[in-house]
Amino acid sequence: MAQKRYNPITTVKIGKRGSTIRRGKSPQKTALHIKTESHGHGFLKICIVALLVLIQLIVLVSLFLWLSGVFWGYLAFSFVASVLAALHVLSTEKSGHNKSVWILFLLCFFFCGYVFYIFSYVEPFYGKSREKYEAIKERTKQYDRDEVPALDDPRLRQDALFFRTVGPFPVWEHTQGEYFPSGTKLFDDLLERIEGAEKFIFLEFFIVADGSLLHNLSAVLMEKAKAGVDVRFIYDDMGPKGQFSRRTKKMLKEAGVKLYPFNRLLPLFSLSINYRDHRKIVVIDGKIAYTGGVNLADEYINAKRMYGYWKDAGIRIEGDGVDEFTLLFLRQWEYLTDAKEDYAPYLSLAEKKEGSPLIVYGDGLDYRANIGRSAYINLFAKAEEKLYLMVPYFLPDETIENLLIEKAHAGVDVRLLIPEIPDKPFVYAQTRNYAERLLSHGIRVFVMKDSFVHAKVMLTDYAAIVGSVNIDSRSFYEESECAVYTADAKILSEISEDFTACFGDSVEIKERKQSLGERIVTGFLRILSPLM
Amino acid sequence: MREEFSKEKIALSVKEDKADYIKECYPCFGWTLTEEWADRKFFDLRHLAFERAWNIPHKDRLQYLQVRMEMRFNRIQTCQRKKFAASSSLFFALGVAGVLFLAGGSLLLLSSRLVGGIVLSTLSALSFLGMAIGGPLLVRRENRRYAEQVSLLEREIVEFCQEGRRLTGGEDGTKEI
Repeated sequence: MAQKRYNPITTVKIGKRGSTIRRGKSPQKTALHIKTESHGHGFLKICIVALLVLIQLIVLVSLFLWLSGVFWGYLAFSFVASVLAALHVLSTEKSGHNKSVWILFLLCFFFCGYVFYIFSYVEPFYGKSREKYEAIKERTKQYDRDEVPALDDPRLRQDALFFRTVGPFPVWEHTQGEYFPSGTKLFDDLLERIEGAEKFIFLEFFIVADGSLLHNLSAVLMEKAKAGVDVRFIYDDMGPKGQFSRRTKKMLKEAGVKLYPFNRLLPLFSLSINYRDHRKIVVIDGKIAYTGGVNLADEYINAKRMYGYWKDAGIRIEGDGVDEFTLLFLRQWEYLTDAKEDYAPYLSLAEKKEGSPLIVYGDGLDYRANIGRSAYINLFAKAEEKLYLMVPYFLPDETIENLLIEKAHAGVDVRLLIPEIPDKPFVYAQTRNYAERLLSHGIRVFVMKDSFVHAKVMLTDYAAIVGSVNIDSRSFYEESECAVYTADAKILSEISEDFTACFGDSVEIKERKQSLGERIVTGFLRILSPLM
Repeated sequence: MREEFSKEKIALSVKEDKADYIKECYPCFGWTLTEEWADRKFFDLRHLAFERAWNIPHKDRLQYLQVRMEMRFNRIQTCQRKKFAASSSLFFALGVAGVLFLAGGSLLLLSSRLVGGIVLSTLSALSFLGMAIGGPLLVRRENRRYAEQVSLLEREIVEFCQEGRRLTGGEDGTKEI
């Protein structure tokens, strides 16, 4: 009898006697695949929104071109409007690079450029939002504290005065903190601590996505809400990209969790579509608070693989400083819900702890100054021995870039830690470009192997900042953010250890000559970088 | 931590030819195999489920090593998939070119266009010769290159697993997997 030839389609007997199924080769291309990923319909939503925006853009541009063809007067009008817009650009506080890009765009596309400028410029369309925030702050100003304690270190004193001026954000002296060098550690701690919540739990995240982390946390939140704990949850409507399913939201709401989206994403060319809530805040009973780079999704605890190892960081504070996070949250809540309530029951609940000076601050439409950017500039400017930055996106303006260079020239050990694996290729190309430009000035740049570094941590010899603020124009101008500024020696030491460990797992990049093609591409991307 | 969160779980679908090796690697990072089953639809897939305590010491470091190990397995798979991509493409391209030149040359010769016919026939012969000589050379080169890459990746897997074992307090850290 002839031997059977090998047939990749094998048969397996299962079920009833004689019944078989034919098993084929799997389409899985990888050697191993983690099965905990959940797939939302976010991609579909994004596609629909993107398509609608594109259609509207095409209609707008076509309309302008038609108008230009039919009415000579319109061309003259649009030229004058674009010139006026260019003059306005020159008068703003944008960086020189940002202004150059806009002026170039306005003059090259004068027939429609001024309209895009108006749509993108924050002030006219966020004026009402600012007024609303101002009204909320005016109504609740009795809860603001602005005393600056006596601080020995003149650098801390200056920073404290800065935060008092722009906030006011006070210095908290009876607050302890703990640094977490990963999202896993932070959420493990949070899941333990949240069990003890008795009065209220406030959460504010940019990204919330179905998965094991949200499933576990939701179980606790629903239980707490049913037991009478005041559970409130703000999430950015664009952040999750559809991965925070309606089913999960419904379950949470039915259990009594109060859920509110920030800046609802509608399939229309919304004038404020660009402004997002990038904060990450958890407050438990006014006694414990968390912040950092982490969002509520499985990739932040490495339960899902997206871009290699996900490196993140965060901080927990306990003590009177938690009040500042409570205030940031409640004001955001009032802005979204128009519910005017007395904040007093939610404040001054924490025990005073032995601690070192710590400042909690926020940034966004609720503040006039660009606090996130200025806080970094203040911190960097006072570094005397070391200045370490850990960021996913490094698109500094001239001020920050020059400051880092001057610090390096003055002998400060300046180091930058960025990812090896990008999540956004164009932004990463720019990050690498900016980073490599610093190499010739003695700044050391490290790329963490097999990782996407999502943490936003800045460390100097006298203080550190851990929060949600990236070094790019989105974080500085177009998002609500928050962070903790600390001079606590224990936390500084923990952060320093984390940096040392990360440098050990990184490759230090060296100066190299770029090819002509690379120079052209990076030059083009550099022009666009203020818009990224 | 409440009981239902006290164990971390992970479930994988792995290629059958690597399943046994992967089964030995995950315990280096503190995981214990809880379930294993063959896929009902695909003969080359196996499913593995592991769990470990949520508060395992050195968790961050173990996670980092584990992810890097997973990436190395997937890169080995990619190497194996793409191993003969270049030589196959060249073989195919030269083969098609050779056939086309031969067909064209024959037609021209049949229609008494000698010069054109000879030129195309020569090109056809050169294409087939290129296939015969260049193909095996390229195959050998690709074999060597991917073998080096795979060997490096496998060494890195062993290093990560050994470090994992040291951190989890496993057996002799220098033992090969």
